[in-house]
Amino acid sequence: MRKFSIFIIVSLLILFAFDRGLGYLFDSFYRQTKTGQTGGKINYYLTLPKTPDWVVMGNSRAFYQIIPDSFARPTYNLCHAGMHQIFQTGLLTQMEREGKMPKLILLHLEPEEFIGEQSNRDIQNLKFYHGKNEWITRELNALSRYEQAKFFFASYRYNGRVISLLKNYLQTIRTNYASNGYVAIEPSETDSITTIYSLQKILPFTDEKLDQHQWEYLHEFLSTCRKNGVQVICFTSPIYSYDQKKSEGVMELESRLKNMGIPYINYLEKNIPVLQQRTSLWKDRHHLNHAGAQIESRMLAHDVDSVLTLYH
Amino acid sequence: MLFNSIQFALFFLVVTIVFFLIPHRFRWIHLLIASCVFYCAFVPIYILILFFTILIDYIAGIYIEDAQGARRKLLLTISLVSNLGVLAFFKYYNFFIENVNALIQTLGLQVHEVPYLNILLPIGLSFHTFQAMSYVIEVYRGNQKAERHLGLYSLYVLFYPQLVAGPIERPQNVLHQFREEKKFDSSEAISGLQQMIWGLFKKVVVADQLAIYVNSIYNNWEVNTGFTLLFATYCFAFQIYCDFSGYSDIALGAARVMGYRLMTNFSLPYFSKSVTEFWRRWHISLSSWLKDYLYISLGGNRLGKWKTYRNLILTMLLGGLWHGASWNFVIWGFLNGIYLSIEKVFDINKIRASSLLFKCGQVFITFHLICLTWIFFRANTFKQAIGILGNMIQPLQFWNLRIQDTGIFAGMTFGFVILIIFEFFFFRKKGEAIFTMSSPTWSAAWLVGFTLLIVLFGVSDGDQFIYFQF
Repeated sequence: MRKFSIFIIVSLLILFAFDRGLGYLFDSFYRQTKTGQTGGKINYYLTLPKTPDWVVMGNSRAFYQIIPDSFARPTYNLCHAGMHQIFQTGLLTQMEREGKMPKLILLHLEPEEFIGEQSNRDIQNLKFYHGKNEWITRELNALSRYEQAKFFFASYRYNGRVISLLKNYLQTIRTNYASNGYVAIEPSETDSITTIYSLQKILPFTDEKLDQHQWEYLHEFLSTCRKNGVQVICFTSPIYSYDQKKSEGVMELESRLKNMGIPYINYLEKNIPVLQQRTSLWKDRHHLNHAGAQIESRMLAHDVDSVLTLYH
Repeated sequence: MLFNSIQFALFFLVVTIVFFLIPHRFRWIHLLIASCVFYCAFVPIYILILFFTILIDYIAGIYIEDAQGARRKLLLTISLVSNLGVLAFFKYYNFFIENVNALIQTLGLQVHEVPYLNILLPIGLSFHTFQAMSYVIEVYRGNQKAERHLGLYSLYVLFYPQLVAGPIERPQNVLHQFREEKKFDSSEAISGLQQMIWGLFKKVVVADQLAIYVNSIYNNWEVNTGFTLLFATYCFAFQIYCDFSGYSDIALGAARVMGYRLMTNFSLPYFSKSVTEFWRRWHISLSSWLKDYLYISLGGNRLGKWKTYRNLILTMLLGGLWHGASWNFVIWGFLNGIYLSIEKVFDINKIRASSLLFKCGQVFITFHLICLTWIFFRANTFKQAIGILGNMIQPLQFWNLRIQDTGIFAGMTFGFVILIIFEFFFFRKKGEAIFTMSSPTWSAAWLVGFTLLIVLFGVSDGDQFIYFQF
């Protein structure tokens, strides 16, 4: 038993030392990373000497589709592919903490993500801020009963992201990275085929109700902006060949936004022939390629200007 | 309570420490209570079903031992019918009704559809039912003495490491171990921990990362190209292997820490040179169960060529049905039965490969034959499986691999490479002995290294084990 106890204690000590060492190493890499979704984009924005006037936030349908240079004011695309509202709200709390709030936020909303029961797992992409940002720490700890215990390992903050972190770190130190946050999907010859192919799988909404948790995250986002004097304009990118009936949940979402005085530009409902008639502008049913992104960005810039003129 | 949860880690720690602190005569009670707690963490009420079958088999075992002739057979039949009845009710009733209703619809009969049962399948039902049946059959065959101690017999069925997903143990291997006084053995405990951490690595780093990719492709199979679907099927082959063998490793390791030895369930199945060899290396406790109690009972290879093929196909068909109540599992079993029969026809297993290239070719072909069956295993419906196969053979839109998330793809590739390196260079040569032959330095490096890999690459909110549903 004595031999076993010594073995376990020594192993745990080695594990502790390696874990702390790796945690320290990855922390250092993370802070220096200025590119990619594994914190790089956030770091880049947070270390900009001058905060851009406008910021675009949302998922891949804003990340690959909204070109900041289309707007009249200095704009940064702070979108992250695949991220739901909880991530956007978490990110905003960090921007607030670091005094990096812009004057206006263009928030991309995905109505589907507000209907039915949605996952809160996206907050895991902000694990780096566990213990540093109260809101993010609280949401992370709430993921499961034992979630807090996992953070005993310093390196757990990089769980599932080590390879991306190393790749982005190397990319940052090899290139003099400077960007407006937009990443283009270059048009290719197969775009039309993949878009038509993706039409084979269209699932109707199975749930109608608005997810209260997602709404609360959005509400918290909007309240934080209001508190800091940041104007918010919500928008939704178009989808190729979209003909879904508007669900009860989406109608409620729109009505709540209206009650809060938040402008909402919804391209899902607008007939935009220039986009809907050309499959070559799409990468797939949900994503425009760079050629399509140019059209949507110009359109959004125009509509945002109209909204701002109306509000002022 | 999943093996890949912190809850289980705490449970295991407490149970093991208490096990070694209390005298031997109380240990069976301790393990029995712990096993009940473990089972009740899923659906508590279902433990009553287990108690019911335990009691029937316990009494049947004693009476079978004392009985002669037809009475002996009758008692065996009562026990088997009870076990299979519970299994049929919970697992196959809805499947049966579904087919009856489909038949009613097809024939256009003007009768009401038969209602379905709205019940959950008791976790691990197929496993403990087969383990219990194994005991009764062995007593009937005279290979095992009837267990007179109800507590020890209950522990044989309920022993928590193998309760919900095997290995499906034989009474000769386990029952006597519960009587032996287990002294704490430092090297056994370290070996057990090593095996547990290896199993956890396979589950959370390899299987769960592969699962993210496989699920995203299979759930959207209509929009994915042939090559992507083929690649996702390869990934599923390793996902299910790492998921199930990972579970087995944790089970074997957990038992081993307390000094109990359970049977090896996997032995590098994807290095097999034929499907017959594959089934000697894959889910060994089930395949040997099917061979000993079904294939041989049907006559095995003693009744001529054609009946041998029939027995092989029938055995694998029922093996498929054991996995789940769906036609996809039946087809999966049927395909495996066909493979085994064809190999028997051509005496494939007697071919001795001389060159490395030839051996690699055999492994390559076997792997692909097995992958074909995995399509039916993984697909949710027969239509989906056929659709996937259809997309795979479409020449247009074949050469395009969808990677989805590059971070996840890189992570799963990394996990897979580590798995292959360890399996090829270590386990292929030494097997599970790798856990016992190591020095303290190697053991410490193993535990620390794999724990860090789990922390850094493991999917912390991964799925439950695939085989739990069986």
